[in-house]
Amino acid sequence: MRLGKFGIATMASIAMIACLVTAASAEPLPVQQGPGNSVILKRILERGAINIGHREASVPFSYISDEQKVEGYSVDLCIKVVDAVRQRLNKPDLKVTFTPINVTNRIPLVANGTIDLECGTTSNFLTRQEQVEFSPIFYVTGTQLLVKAASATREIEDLKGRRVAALQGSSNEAAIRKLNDEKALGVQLVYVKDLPEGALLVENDRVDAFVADGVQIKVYAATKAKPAGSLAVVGRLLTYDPYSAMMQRGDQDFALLVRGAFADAFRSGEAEKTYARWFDPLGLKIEGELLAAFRVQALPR
Amino acid sequence: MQYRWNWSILFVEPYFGWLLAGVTWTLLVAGAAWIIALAIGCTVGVLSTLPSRTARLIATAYVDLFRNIPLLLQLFLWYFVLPELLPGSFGLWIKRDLPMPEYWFSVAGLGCFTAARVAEQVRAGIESIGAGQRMAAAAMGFTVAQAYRYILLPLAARNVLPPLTSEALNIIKNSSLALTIGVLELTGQSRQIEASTFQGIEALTAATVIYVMLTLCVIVVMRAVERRVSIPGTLGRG
Amino acid sequence: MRNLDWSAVVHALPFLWQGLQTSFVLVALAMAGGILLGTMIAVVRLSAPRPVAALAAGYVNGLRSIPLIMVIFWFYLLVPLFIGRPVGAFTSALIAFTLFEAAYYAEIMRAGINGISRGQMAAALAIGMTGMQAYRYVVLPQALRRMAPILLTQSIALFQDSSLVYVIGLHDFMTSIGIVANREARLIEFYLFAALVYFAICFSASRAVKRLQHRMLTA
Repeated sequence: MRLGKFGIATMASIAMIACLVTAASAEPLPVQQGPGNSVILKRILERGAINIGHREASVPFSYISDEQKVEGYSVDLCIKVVDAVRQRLNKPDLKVTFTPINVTNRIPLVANGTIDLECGTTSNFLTRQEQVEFSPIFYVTGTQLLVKAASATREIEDLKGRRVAALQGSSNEAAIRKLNDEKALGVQLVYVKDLPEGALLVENDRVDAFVADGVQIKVYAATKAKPAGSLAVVGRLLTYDPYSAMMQRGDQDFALLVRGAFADAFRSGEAEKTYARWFDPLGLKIEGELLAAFRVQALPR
Repeated sequence: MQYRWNWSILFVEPYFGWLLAGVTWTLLVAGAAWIIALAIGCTVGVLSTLPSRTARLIATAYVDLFRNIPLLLQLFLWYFVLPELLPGSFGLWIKRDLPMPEYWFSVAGLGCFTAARVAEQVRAGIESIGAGQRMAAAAMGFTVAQAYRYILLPLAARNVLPPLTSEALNIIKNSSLALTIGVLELTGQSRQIEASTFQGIEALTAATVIYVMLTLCVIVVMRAVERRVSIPGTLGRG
Repeated sequence: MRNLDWSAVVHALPFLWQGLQTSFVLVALAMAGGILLGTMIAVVRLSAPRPVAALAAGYVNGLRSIPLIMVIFWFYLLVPLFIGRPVGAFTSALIAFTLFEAAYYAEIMRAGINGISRGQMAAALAIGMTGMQAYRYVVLPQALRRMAPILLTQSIALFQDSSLVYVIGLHDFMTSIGIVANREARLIEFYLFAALVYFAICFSASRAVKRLQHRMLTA
């Protein structure tokens, strides 16, 4: 790491103050100032704004609210990164612009630099890491089934030869295709573009189940089912989907800054508070795996 | 900018197979929709030139309705809205037992949309013949049906061939919208390859090249048809 | 029939109105750019040296053989890659529509120019105008006037096509409909409402064009 114009002594005292400040206000203090070698930071500085990619209806992770504001759990965590960028660039008034993304365009848009930071519900996979860089993991879920509460379906094996909806291009779709081949389930896949579309097909009896990330369909069943309680989420986790934020690949400085901002949030308990803010109202308490992930990734400064 | 090129991705399984499947679905959607478009389009087009006021009214209403709503939205209406508005058992059958509903709805949607455009071409084709032929037929004692069968339609058919060619091209291109209701045709498959491999440019290039080739095929076939049916001695290229 | 609930639609009206404005701006700009570029292509095709004319013809035929949705995808995902700088959804959609529609406007203008009698051109040249001037002051104004109804009809089609930016998430009217429909889980009401709005706009616009056409014929 380059120390820039700071001497070792100054560094040490800053580090001490940083510890105190962190304990008090949980504000991360970046060591380096200015964009340095980071292509992404330079581009943010040039533009005077950081461009965040968000989902439109992935409640409560990333969505557009009634007041047309982009918000959610993922977005709040990303704003902590934005704060770190503001400090690093010494631009407290750095603007934030939002670009809506979907499952099919999110990776290309991050890879081609349209979006600086993607804050949605993207699973962190090794194959995806060939095209983009990922932040630390901030949520852990897996593929499950959304069915009508009255349905007898409990596991994917109960759906032999039935119709099942999946988000086109999602990891859930890939998983169900694989299971279909391995277990010769003969499931007919119906492709949808967005979560509520899939849920609507279940509600209207167009399909027998909708495969998606467990947490997202749980949230839908808890908040949007008409009438309330008519939808249920069942089945074991068919895949392991750890959510991370995406950024352009090959910018180590920016990736470090993002990792730092997340580690700070995990260490200070801010991440847990953010979780509680978005998930408690839905009756979804934080679970062991996610709590462990927060602790394991709370790297010290 | 960061991009890792990998053109070989297009020729390995399963992605090559996906592209082939995509071409097949594009042709299946466009072909079936074209049949519907021709059938409804010719009927509506003829209706709009008939002496009967009711017939013309029906034809105008059809064309206005289907031409003034974007195709994308029409497909959504067919797929998401229509089954909910249909009465009980029939709606239920469509929802539960109709195999591949996304295919049939995209065919119906694309067919009805294109039919409105075909109808306009057919009407223009019949009107371009002029009133003289129609009057001559009436003077000879032809009924309206006979006049259409033996005079107007055969003449109009040749007139509308060139505009119909471009409608045939449109239907192939417009079939790409079927991806928005879940038919994995050519565009959909190229997006699918991108989602699995993140090699978007390669997949998009392949799909684009295939579309251009399909278009060329249609042009060649339709030109051949035009040549075969052209009337010697008229200005149409014989 | 299931119970429909329109309150969500009423509630979302301000958001939808914003989307509609974006659609209008996009269409207006793409129409202006498309007609300008299309006219230039048509002139090049008709009067430039053979290789250049062939190039223009290739452009028109090439773009006309690709689905618009692909063109939108191309520009959205690839332009940033080639020019080395990200462009927003609106800019890339605007570029895509302008270039795509130019191919269609070019064909209309070509037909329009072809319909102007040879004598006009000859007369313009005879009074000492250059070829450029003849086009600029004599041929094009007449062709534009003559083709105005068809150009406008094509623009109504462009307005409908603009709904395709849905696939890249630009907040036009259709995308806005999709967003609120999905958020409120009320697809049926919102799609029906969208159909009504598009129909009302396109129907009245095409009626207006028809009246214009009629006036021009009788004038």
